[in-house]
Amino acid sequence: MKKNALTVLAMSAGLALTLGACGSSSAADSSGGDPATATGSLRVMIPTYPLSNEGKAEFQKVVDDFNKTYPKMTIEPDFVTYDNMNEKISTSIASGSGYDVLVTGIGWIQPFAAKKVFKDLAEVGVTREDVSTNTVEAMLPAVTHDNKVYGYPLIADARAVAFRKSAFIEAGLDPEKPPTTMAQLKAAAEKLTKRDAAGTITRPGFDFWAASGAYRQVFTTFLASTGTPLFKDGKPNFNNEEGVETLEWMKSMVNNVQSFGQQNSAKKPLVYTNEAPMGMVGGAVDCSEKGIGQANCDDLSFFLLDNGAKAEFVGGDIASIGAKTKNSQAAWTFIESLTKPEANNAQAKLNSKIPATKTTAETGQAQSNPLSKFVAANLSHAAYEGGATNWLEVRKSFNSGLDEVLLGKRTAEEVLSSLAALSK
Amino acid sequence: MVLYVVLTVGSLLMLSPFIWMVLTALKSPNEVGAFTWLPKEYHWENFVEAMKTAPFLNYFRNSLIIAIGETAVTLAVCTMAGYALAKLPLRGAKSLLTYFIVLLMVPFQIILVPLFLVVKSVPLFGGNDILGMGGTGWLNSWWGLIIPLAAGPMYTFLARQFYVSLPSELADAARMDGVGEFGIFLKVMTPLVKPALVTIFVFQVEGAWNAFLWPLMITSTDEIRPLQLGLAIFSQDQSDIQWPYLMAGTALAALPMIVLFIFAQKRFVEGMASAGLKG
Repeated sequence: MKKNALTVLAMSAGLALTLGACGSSSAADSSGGDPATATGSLRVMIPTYPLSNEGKAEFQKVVDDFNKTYPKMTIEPDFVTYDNMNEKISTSIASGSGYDVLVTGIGWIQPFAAKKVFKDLAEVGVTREDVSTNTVEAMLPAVTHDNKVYGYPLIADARAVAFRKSAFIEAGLDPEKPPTTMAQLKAAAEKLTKRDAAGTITRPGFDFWAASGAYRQVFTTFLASTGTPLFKDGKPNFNNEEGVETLEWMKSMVNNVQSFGQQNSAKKPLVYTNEAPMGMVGGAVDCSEKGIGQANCDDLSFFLLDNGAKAEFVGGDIASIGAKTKNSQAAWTFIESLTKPEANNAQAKLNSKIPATKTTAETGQAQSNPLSKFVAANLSHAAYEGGATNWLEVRKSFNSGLDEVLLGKRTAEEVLSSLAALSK
Repeated sequence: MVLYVVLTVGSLLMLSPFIWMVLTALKSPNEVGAFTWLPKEYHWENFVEAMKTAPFLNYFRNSLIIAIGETAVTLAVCTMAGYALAKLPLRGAKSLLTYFIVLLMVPFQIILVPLFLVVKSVPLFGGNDILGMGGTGWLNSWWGLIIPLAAGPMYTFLARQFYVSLPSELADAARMDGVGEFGIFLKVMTPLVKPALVTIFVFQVEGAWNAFLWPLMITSTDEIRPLQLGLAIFSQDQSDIQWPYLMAGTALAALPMIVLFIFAQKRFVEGMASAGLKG
């Protein structure tokens, strides 16, 4: 834990130093001429494809597609993980050998756009309308900064709430009418919670699917279900009545229907293994015998919280162009290859996510399991985290601050106000 | 009797993570969620399937090259530096020693970016000119993987601690017999610090074998990436970590280190005790 904190501190310092050196000027585009004769290479940083044989084979298909347009250009991929992405970006910028294409996540766009690490995609002819028309419209705010588009969604990592129909029936709840508001959810969860004679929770009624220090995304989801996004126009939107009420409600759930930070040893949603009758889940479930099995899948049903607005938490992989690239046009062509339906579907399959396209509900990955089908059909209710230009630093404080409230060490008002003060 | 019981319990506690790792490697993906020691069925095929997921043979080879390279440089450079600090009449030897001790306290993360810049700017490598500009230097190369992490201050300090415990009269006697300074170091003094060499060897091989952050930073191709980066494949998706494969791969990756320690443990323990170090 200390090592992680140290890494973050060191890399933040590194980022601050190196990003400061980033200029706003764009280099002349050397790939803007005839693609057939353009030469050189594109440096691509991408966490979307795992470095497995299968991942590399799928990535090669994208490269082959790109080479149909730019036959003489080569791709230099740098396969990274989200855990070490910031170190990779900061060292590449520091060395002056930045990437031409960077695939990052939701939450990365505004911080790096503000530091002029990413290029305004208008320079390659991409507009807000293009993103709205071709991808998930609800993800548009997540890829814009100062009304300019800095990223193009590839795949979406959506979350829903799942429940066991059999458990609902056993507890006298109607599986056809799952709870939607926070009050209903709490009442149902309390009914579903099982305790031993000493009052200790033996089966949580609701699984937050969050370890200690990781309640941030759950808070974002519940807050969004009140119609309150975490940030509005880049400004904090959580230090208000809705934010305090949401956090107080979460506090009333923790150690009441589930022990603080409870997870199983595989860190997978407890609903899948029937360790909890209801709780947060990801965006895909494997119903085969290698996964949770068809019988378990058949017992699951899904819903979204709606305290005034339906909210489905969405993360995802976003493609951007490096501000200092000399090959903007080629970089955009490569992103286009990444967003072809076949490539998109392969990325989604490799990551248990869904394609972030307008027609996501019809894609093979979305149709492959009931959970993906559900989240794909509800992508229009996407709620995302981030929006502040210093989000990557603030989110760490979010994690510890929310824990303090949930454990009763500080009040929700106090913590949310201090987090708002930290956000830029 | 009590001592034996305490030591047995201690040993079991130390062994339990390894046992857990191997047992998890043999479980099905659905079993890893719930707490059970023994798998319902033993999935030995997990080891084969994990190794088939990526070019792990390459990764093993790369880790071996890095470990041998780093250790060879460390043994050559650090023993000489340690001997010089301990036995040669160097002006400012104490200040130099203090400098090495201070270096021990600098976390690697702090020097990551500067080190990256240095490696990228090595002159006349990777297309760089004499001023270290225009190319990639040692990035994406064996040089970059091996040299920066070899010859760490800890090993110099460790070697110095051993040499300082040897009587200087031995060196004086060799000088009387006409042996040169390098001969004294190589033929007289160094053979007497074998436990130190083994300790440095084990520490450095283990450090090189387990390195993750630095190889990740300076490589972008799996032609030269080591084993630890290969294992990260199984935890790429944080919400769906492939525990049985990850544990199978980790168990295989740990095997050479366990064998190394078994063979070197006698000298290693001697070395640790003599230098006053704790593992």
